Amino acid sequence: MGSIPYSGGWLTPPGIDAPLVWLLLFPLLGALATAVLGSLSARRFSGRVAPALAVAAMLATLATALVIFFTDVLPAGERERIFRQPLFPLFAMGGIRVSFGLVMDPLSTVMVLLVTALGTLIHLYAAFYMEGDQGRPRFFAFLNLFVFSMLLLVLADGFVPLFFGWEAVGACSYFLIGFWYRRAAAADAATKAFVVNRVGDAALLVGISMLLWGMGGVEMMTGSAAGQLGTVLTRTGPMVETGEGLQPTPGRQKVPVGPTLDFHELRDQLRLEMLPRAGVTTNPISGATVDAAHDVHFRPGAYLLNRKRVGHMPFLFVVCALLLLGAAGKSAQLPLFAWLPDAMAGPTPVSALIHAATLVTAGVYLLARLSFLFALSQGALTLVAVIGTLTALVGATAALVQNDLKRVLAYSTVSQLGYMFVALGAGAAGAGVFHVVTHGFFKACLFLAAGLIVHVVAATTPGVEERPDLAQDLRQMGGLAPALPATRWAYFAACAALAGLPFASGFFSKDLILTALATCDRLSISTPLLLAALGVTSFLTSLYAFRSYYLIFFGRPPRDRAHAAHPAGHRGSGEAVMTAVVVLLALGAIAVGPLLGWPGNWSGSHGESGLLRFLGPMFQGDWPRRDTPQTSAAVEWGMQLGGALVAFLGWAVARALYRDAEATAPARRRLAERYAFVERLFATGWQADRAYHLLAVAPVRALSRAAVWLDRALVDRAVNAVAALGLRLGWLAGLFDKHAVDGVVGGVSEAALAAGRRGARLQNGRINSYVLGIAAGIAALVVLAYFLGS
Amino acid sequence: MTAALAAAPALASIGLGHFLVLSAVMFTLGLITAATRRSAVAILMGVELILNAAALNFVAFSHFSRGAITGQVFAVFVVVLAAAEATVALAIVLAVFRGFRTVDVTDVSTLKG
Repeated sequence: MGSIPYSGGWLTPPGIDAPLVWLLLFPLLGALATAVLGSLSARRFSGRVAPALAVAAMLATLATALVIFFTDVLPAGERERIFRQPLFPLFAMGGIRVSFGLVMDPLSTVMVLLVTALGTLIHLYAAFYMEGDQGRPRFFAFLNLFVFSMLLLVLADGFVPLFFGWEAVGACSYFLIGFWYRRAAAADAATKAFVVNRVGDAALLVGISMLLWGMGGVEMMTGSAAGQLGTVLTRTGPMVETGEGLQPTPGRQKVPVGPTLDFHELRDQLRLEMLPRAGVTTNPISGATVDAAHDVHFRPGAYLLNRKRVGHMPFLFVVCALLLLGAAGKSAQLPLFAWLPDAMAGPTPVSALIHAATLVTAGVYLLARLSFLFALSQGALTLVAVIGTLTALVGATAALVQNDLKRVLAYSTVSQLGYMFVALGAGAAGAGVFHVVTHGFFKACLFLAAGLIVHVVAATTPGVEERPDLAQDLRQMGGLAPALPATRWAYFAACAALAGLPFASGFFSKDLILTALATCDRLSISTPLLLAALGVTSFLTSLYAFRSYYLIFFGRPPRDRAHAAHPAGHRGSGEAVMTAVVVLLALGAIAVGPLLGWPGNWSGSHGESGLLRFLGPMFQGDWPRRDTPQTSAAVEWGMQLGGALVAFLGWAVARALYRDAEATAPARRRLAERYAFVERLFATGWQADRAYHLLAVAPVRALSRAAVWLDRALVDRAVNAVAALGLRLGWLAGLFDKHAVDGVVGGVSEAALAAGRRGARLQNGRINSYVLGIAAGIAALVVLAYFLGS
Repeated sequence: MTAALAAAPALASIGLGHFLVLSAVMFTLGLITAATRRSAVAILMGVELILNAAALNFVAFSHFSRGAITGQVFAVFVVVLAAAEATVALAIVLAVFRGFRTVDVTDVSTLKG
């Protein structure tokens, strides 16, 4: 199906191919080995086999990823960093062939490195965090499987393998959120996450199907001439943005056209579609004549896609909206975000994995992967940006008033994912992916630090056994700085990154997003409005981040906590390793920003730097027939200064309010009483659960009640009537049976008896009559022979 | 049988027909004896009659078909067989007599019903 033909066996393909498969095989085999060997040896080695195997599998995966990155991806030319590996064909319908393949391009490289790096650290942390838990083989098997699914998702070369990974990620999240399945809260949260995700998944599936249909999939299957599959030889390469407007890349290039579910084929087709339709055009800038005509009679699938309409809406908008809903389900965006805070019922490493590396970034990844498609629909882009902004705001307000530490972090993730969606909506997919990376580091750090804090609080708070949520309650914390010195500074660094304090990673990525939004003129909504909302969100982000920081580490612990009883490092080497992981992640949270995204206006060069240049070829040419304006230096400086200012403001307010929580308590209580309904609104995530209840649960319940009534009134009655009829019929049949059938049976037996009695009379024991019988028989035979024999 | 009759025109006085009639009469008498007499010994005598009627038929047919003595040979066999049969049958009759104190075949019955 691809431009590179299917080649050979899939375990020993040439070149780069084998390592790509190993990226998936290591975590998969790790999951299997962990499940089998870990369970078998659960009683031996104090159950450490499962964690050890899982960590080993992750280390192998990380090593493979690094080897691929340094030996193959990085040395390749900027535009040649696309390594495809078709694995096996899946199915063919008419002219549509769907295959299962992997692709390593800059986008998937970034995601693979992020997932494997964070995944390995989190596995290492979890190996000690879960010490003593009976379900460790199950836990680590699913943890490995989770990473496998996510890698499958990001390495997929088309919608179908992506969907496999997509579903597997959802299933793994279900298993892991509900890991402590005996707790009702965990089981409910797992179900909620799964069901809400299902809504998004259904939308995604419909979107994919419509995409295929829109490219002429139906015509392909029915054999009409509208969509022929063929290979178009463009006389010029696809159009790309070069800085002087849209230019065709040099050289001839083959572009297969027709319905496809392959990302790169789809992108090439859409680029081809963007070629000028006239035969020969003259480049207005260089004056050179470009023969850009391609064979129009082939009608690439993109041609159909771009022109179809559904009612009054462009077809593309509908498809993009469905795909967006799918991404929103996975990435906890506005209509479908309420599952994420509840998902905190899972073990803390799972939360870290979900929030930092896997699952929630899947939606962002999908939209970044499809940015070429979304770029064609202004409405879809606007929708993405608006949803992102609203989610960021709602998430930040909700995080502000939570009392559960992990819920603060969860709503913070919701809010930060909103930022990423804004970036995608503003057409700055690179900035969005950058924020995925920085967010991955600081959120993993925050969650793992929270795990350490929760351990300490759980060890020193009475009554935790009955109420596990007590250990995560911010009101139970306070004054933990002396007990956890390293964790405190790591937490501070991660908070700084989250809040966007200058020189911490979040600052760089957020600034890029805001700058992109400020310069974006493609949205059909006023960008200053979105910018203002995001500015408020930035302030709130800083506020809630430092609120949690001060509430945890400063002030005095509650009176009933046996604070002094806590010996530092009560878990021995385990705690040391976990703290080391947290500190490492904190360093990452500070460093990845400047390393990967040093702003151009700081270094004086007006090019994109680091990660953005690496990702560049992925998104170049997404914007057809339009010249990208240079971002003015004033906007860049303004955004950076404004962002820093807002972040510092939030920090200052948080410091004033929460550093000495007891002193400000009366004032805060007065505030809370006056605005009680606002607090309640925020605390419930803007009543998301109630909205679900009103919009989904209640109608379904009503429907079920109606169905029950219908069932009782109509179906049951009909069934009863049929049953009564059956009874009558049975009675009739009984009569018939008794008289007709039994009569026949009885008659037959009677006849047999009578015949027997008659026959028995022949056997009278009189030899004379036997002789007569013999003689008569012989005579009869003779007569018979006389008549027949002659 | 009709061909055999046609092949014996010479003996006008006593022909094959006479023998056959005699044989038939003997057979019928034997059959009636076997079927009606109650004494086992009498039944055996009837059976002898039937056998000899058949042997007579053999000899008669053999005589009236030229150059063959197959019939006579069969007659000798029949005589021998009849002797053997009489031996066995009389032994059975003796055994029956010992068991039932009678040779009346209507009384020699243990069948029920």
